[in-house]
Amino acid sequence: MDVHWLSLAAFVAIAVATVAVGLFATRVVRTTHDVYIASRAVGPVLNASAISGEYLSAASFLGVAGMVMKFGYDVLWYPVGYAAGYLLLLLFVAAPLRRFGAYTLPDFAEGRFNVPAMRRLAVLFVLLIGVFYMLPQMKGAGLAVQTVTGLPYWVGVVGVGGVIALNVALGGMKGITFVQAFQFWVKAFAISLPVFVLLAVFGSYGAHWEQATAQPPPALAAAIASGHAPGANWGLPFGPLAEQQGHALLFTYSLIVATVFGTAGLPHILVRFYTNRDGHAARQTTLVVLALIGWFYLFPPILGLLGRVHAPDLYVGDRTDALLLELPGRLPQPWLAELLRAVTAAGAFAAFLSTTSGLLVAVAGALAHDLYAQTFRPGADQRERLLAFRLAALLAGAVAIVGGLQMERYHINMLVGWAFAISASAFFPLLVLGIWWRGLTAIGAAAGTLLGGTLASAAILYTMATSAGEQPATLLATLLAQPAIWTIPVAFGTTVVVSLLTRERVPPDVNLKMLRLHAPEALGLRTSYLQ
Amino acid sequence: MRAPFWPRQRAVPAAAPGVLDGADGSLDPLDDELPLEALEALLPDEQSLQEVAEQTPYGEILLQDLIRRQLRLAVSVAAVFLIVLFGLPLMNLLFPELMHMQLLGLPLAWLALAALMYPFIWALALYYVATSKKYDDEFTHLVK
Repeated sequence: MDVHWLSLAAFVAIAVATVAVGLFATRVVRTTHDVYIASRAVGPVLNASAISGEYLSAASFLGVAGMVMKFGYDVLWYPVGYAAGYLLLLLFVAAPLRRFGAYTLPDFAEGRFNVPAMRRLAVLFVLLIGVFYMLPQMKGAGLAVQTVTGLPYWVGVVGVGGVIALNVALGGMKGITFVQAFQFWVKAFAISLPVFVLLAVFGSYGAHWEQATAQPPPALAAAIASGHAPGANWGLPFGPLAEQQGHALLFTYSLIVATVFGTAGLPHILVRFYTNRDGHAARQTTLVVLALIGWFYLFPPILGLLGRVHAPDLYVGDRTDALLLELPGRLPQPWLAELLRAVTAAGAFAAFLSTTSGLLVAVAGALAHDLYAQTFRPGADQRERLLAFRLAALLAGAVAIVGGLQMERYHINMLVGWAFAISASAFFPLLVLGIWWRGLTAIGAAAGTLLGGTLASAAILYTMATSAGEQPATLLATLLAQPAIWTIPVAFGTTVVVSLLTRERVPPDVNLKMLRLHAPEALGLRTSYLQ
Repeated sequence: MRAPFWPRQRAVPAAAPGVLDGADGSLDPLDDELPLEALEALLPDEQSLQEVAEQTPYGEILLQDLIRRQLRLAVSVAAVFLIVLFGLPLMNLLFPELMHMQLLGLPLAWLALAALMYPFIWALALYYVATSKKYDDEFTHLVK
């Protein structure tokens, strides 16, 4: 096996830099608490970099390019949905959630109704989404280490999972803002540089389009002829991906719905909105996030196109997820290939480090704060809480590793799409109705969240258990493989109907909650939740 | 009242009267150097917030009006976006010749989804941020 030493060095450099930045921030900041208060001074650009750094996971960095290469046009909906989700987050959630002052989604769920049971329900889905989202990161880690060093898949999963779990267990949330902001810029550099270099060496976007569709080069033509690569319909709407699912238009719509509405309910992203100075800053932060990730997502489709033309051998053996790590090797200049390979390896490593750390913190926080400290042992002291957090981080890391080992056959990007479907069904209705509708009752919210989240999870688990996402083309199979299109309306409908039926149980202080959510800070009402 | 955030803070020591009174402007709530306990003392509790809400003449009506305006703005921007987003697959289905037309060497369908969508989303977001700020400021001006 040929080992790419420079790429291995890039892995190590990113890992060391991550730990170093984290440790440095830990020294500056005295308690985890200070991080949040100090974070109020975090400007929109730094904050948005951190949010984007956490958000752009292995799915965005490796998965989208690989899936564009494999399935073509239909995959473009994923990045559009991932980015557009922030528009809905901005329109309906960002400023009010910041003004409400809750730290986490479970805090909001309890605080909106003053009902502790709502916290527990929310925690359940925070854990589910967190674990679901971690699995594809683990797959990315296994794949990256495999591609770069030739070691088996499990080495990367266990190695990266272990390092991150240990790092989070020791360092916690401290300094994570700086680490993730740093990792965003690593990723942005690592995905854009190869595109510029490859286009400069191989020719323009348009010229590649011709080769990918009308005049395939011999290697690609052979892959198409052998049935490994999709043919001319690759570049067209309702191509191989939608075709595989049968009901192409329905599948496309459900995919859009899941990604667009899922973002606004992702627990580990929402946590970051509290660190803004005020509601308006939360909006500005989202605006910058949209600019940063919009810029980022211009590149994966170009890389997918380049991969189809220059690396068609990846179609054989279904290795397109590794495209970004393999593509630099196709350059005619060996030194340039090694250099670019190291850059993309560093970017991939930054991607799963930042996302997995953020998810681990969210999951461990949900276990240690929401379950242990708020529910089971309200009297626990600081030491016990810290211990609980560390154990929770190690436990979540172990779950991610064990789960990650089973994920080799699923596409990174598809797994993340499923996490979005659960988040969209469980949390989006709760947030939107909780923020904008006075008539919402705790029972209605609980019913909607439970039903929406459970249906989406069950549909996805069923799809995973019966196949690797390659379904017979029946209407039912499509609806189960991409459930968001019916589970979100079910969740909204249930929430509204049950709330109307229990109208007399609308919280008596609902006007106060609305004031907190919507009154601008300039009024002088410090609508913080920090009592 | 239970502290609903993580991690749980230490018990707040009783503040010396007057020292933590921020009403005279002696303490800036956004001062990072401020200890957390002092910051908390600046925050009104549920009770006083309720009073402020009730004391403001027409405050309730104005707040309702603000919520309605913000919601109308959010829904309109979302509607424009969702019509374009959900319209694209339909355009692909109904007008394939148009969407396969080549622009800059790429088909329109690809160009729209892989590139043009992002500046479009950003422009909508920019419009929303500016307008919602205006609504917030008008409300603040009316109430104060």
